[in-house]
Amino acid sequence: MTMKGPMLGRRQVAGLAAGALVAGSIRSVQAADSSTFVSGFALPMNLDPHQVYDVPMQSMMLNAYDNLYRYQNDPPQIVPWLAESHTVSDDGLLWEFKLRPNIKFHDGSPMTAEDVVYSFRRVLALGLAPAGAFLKILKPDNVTAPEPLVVRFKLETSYAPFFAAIPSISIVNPRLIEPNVKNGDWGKAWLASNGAGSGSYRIIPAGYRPLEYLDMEINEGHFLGWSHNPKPVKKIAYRPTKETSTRVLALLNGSLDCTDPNLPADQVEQINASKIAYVQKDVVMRTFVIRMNNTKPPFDNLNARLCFAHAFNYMGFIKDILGGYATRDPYPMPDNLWGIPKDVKGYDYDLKKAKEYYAKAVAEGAPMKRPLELHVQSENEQSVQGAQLFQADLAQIGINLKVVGNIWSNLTTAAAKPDTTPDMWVHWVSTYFVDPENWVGQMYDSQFHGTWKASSYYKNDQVDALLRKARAAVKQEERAPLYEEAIRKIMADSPDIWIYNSMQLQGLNKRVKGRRFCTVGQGAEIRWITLDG
Amino acid sequence: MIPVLSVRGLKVSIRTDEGNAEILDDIGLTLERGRILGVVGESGCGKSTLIRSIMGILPRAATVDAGEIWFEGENLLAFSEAELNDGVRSSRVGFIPQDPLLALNPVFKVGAQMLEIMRWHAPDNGLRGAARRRAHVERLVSLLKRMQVPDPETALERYPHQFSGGQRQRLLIAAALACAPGLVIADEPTTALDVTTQHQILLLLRELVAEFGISLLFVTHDFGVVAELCDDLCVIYAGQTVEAGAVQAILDAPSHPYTRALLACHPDRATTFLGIPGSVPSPLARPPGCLFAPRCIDAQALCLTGRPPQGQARSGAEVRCVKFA
Amino acid sequence: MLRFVVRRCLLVLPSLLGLLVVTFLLIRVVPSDPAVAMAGDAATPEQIERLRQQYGLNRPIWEQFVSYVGKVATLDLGESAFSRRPVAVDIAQRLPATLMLTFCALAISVFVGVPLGVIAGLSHNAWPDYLLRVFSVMGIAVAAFWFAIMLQLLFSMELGWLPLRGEISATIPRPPRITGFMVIDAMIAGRFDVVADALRHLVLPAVTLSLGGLATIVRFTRAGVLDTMQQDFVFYERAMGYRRWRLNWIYVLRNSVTATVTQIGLLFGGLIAGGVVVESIFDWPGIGSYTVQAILTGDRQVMLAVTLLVGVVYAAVNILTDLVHGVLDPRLMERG
Repeated sequence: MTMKGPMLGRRQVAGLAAGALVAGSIRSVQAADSSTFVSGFALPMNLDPHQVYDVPMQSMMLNAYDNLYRYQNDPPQIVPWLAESHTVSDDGLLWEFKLRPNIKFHDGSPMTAEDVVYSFRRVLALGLAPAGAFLKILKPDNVTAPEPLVVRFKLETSYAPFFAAIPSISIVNPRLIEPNVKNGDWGKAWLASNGAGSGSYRIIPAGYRPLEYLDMEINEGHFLGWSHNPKPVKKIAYRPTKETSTRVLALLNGSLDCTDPNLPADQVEQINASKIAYVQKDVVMRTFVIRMNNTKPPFDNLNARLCFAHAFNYMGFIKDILGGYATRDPYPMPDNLWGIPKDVKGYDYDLKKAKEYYAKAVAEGAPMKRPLELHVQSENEQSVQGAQLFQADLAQIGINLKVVGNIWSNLTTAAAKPDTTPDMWVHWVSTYFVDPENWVGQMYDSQFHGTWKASSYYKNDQVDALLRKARAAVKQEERAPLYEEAIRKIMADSPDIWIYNSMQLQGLNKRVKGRRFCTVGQGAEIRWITLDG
Repeated sequence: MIPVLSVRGLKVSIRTDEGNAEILDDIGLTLERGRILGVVGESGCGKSTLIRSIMGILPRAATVDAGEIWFEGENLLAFSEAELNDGVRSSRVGFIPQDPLLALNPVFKVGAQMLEIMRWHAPDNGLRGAARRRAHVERLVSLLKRMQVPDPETALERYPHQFSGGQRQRLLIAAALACAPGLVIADEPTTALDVTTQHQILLLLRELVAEFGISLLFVTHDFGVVAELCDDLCVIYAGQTVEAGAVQAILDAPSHPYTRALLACHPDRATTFLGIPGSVPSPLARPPGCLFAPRCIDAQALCLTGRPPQGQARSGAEVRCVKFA
Repeated sequence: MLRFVVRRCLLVLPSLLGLLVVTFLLIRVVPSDPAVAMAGDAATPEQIERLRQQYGLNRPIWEQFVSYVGKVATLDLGESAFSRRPVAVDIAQRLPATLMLTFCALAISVFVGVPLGVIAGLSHNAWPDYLLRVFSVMGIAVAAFWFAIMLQLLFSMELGWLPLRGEISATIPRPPRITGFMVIDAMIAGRFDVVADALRHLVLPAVTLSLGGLATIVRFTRAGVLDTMQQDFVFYERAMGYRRWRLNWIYVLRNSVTATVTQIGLLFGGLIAGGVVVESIFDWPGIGSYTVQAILTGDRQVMLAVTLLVGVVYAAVNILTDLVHGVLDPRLMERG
């Protein structure tokens, strides 16, 4: 499917119409019920935090489950949660977490170190999304409970991001799961539609339909108590919307307390003009990258890659298409993360330079005339517009780019092999754990070739060595200079086009108070929230 | 004694895209009580418009420009649609349609259709509700018996397509008589039937007129049928009555050149098949003189200038021809 | 009649099998590999390969097909690669919502469309006819999403009469699930406030979904009435003094709706497919949004099951349409 000029999409129609309405009066149908929070956050594919690990899952599991450590605040800090402290051996191989006493699961049974062991073994056995960070470094037998409240991890190799990834693992209740195991599936089928956690809210299985709705009720006995919040939300009703127009209208008529955090920039003005809702802006750690397949000519040529890096109108895209709701990020990871070599400036939009690199690339035999394809997720209008902007600029310097609409699952499948990976594709890299490993570590270490995260198929032995050394070191002071050095080299090689770090836009009803934002989970933790009225 | 039906000077025209079409232009006929009047004419002469005028069901584009339709002493043209529907159709004027195959609603049971008619128009004899309906069913069954429809009780539960053409015509005759009307109008009821069945139906009709005390207006293009069935005759041509009188008198001594020509065409009488040369004048552009003049072998100059007046022939028939003025 | 139904059902089986073969092959053309998506963004090739084996994605296609058909025969539609739930369970949960919406839309189309069609046919070439003709052209041309948004703006936002989206208000507890049909379950539970709430939620999506069908039904009914009015029996019935409204609305109508009934049968299948847009705008938790999700995530089991389901529904509606034809016109039943 080829994209031509922008069309008047549904959102624009709704935008125009809703804009007209705001000028008049909108009847609020706001639920009088100030104990129910109606959430527009997207729901994960299923409810099992050991099968799915993506942004929607984060926002669900932060409420239904607990973790040993958790990210809080903005910028994110990793803080003790179920565990009250931890120790690590000097070689970085032995980690011990000490659980708080008197933690109870939703069924009232006490949580012990054995339950934590069970949870990690389950993650490893399933081998699905959240296992990615652990599979290579942790054997199931090496998670043990030497004492009732102590969990011990013995790693195969020193792996600093281990700690950063700890908050991605939810602790589940084996006493609820075990009776529902079928054919040794670790209760996979059952937990996909049920809850077995200890979190601030309890999943109501009857109130769940995958991707449509989910109800949770407050867990009065949560281990942290509720003294911080005199009037907490009693019930969370997840009612994700599928269409932007419906989402905005639901926010404006008060039937939705928050939208998902991916509101398009063109909706901001009209929501802020309303009496009932506003748009919250938060800088998150999610980078927008145009991946280049470094194995395919001309992308195997440095000058060619530099030519492309100078041909993208970064600020034009951010200002005109994103309405300024993003920050220019020239680095291969979020610029608000540690490990960034601030002395390096990155590339700017400069067609003159692009032409010079073009000439050099041609002189070196790079096939710059070859028609190229840039794949985007067709449902994302802003990506499509960005791609078209790029197409127009490249046309000026004589490069023939075709914008191809695609769907996410096709893209990720294609990106698993160098020969099926598109010439270029648009990739968002979200925060799964707050560590450079989440970005440069997994994107540019050649050992990850074959995963879509490493789909530029970049290979530089020096970078590999630096990244591996940084991964194995434990202390941030040791690791930071290694990453800085690696990033300098990566940026010099320009394997991808790094464009921006996202600013998330979320529509919120004005009755929502006390929200706490953290880039991991995107402000979805409801336990802090109070509803006015 | 006043006639059952008397049509006087009826003029009906229809607006078309090409102009005003004069379909009926001075029709006159009289049906005496207890008699059978045959109305004969070629197709396109205005027979169906005449029937529609009497029934009060003209197309939306049609208007009655002049004339009167006297039925049992009342001018039907002065009746509103509601008055016609409530007090004339079925209850006082029964109707037997041309094609028994097409006239019955194909997706309703025969009994349901006939009872629908009786529900609104049959005399109730002081009965109501279920009793009234039972009485209607009984009357229908006895009527069907009289019409020699086999197995009348179950016949009511069957659909039209489950009957033969002759049986269907018998059903329609029964329906026409169901509400005990004084006048029955039959629109070529035997045309679609084979000759044997046709003959049986005519015999049946003849008997019914006496038996049920009705008067019958029988519209046809077939002189043979008229000869067999009718007492009186009215020949129409291009929307005008050209000859009217007693059947036997006219058959013995046809006066109007058109009547003569028609009779000459009839297979029972014709020695050689001649047909009538020319065609009926278009209702959009009528000649100024006698409407038949362009086809008349006896036409004189006079015939082309003015409409001929009504005269009387020696047979006693009323004739519209200069020769009898 | 029973023989007729059984025979038609048996005739349907080969078509469904054919449908399965085609779908099975087509889905293979889509390049997305469910194992890759399941494994997450940092999964290693070994991890992906393990998943492929686990889900039999490596076996030859004919082997996969045979095993699939065998399972379908026992009503096992497999497991969704993503929700980890049996597809049959997901569909059973969602189908009632879609059926409810579809039936309501169809009911609106029929109960509004047929009378309007009759009125248009009876007033042939007069103003109601012209008006309705314009309307039915619009009904076909107007995009569902535009119409839906206009309805939302007017009835949910400006007037505040009807809810914007969903199947039931977020603050109302759901009645226990018995039939899966929200309205019926609420009745069984004796919760008439919930019945009212659920019905209010039905209005806008059902009206939106009914629009296209409504226009079609008006057009076909109008044509049917015009055709019937030309028939001899209408003149006969008028001459025999049938009451005018009974003549038009019973005796003419029943003869006029043959083509309409055929259209209703075709519409039903179309409505289930066309429900995708409406379900997504109104966040209606039915089959439509489930299908979209399955396509976006490359969930093959779900795509197959939904195709099969729509095929079965189509076939069932076809048989039903034939039966209705037979009831409306006894001549057809005799011909078989």
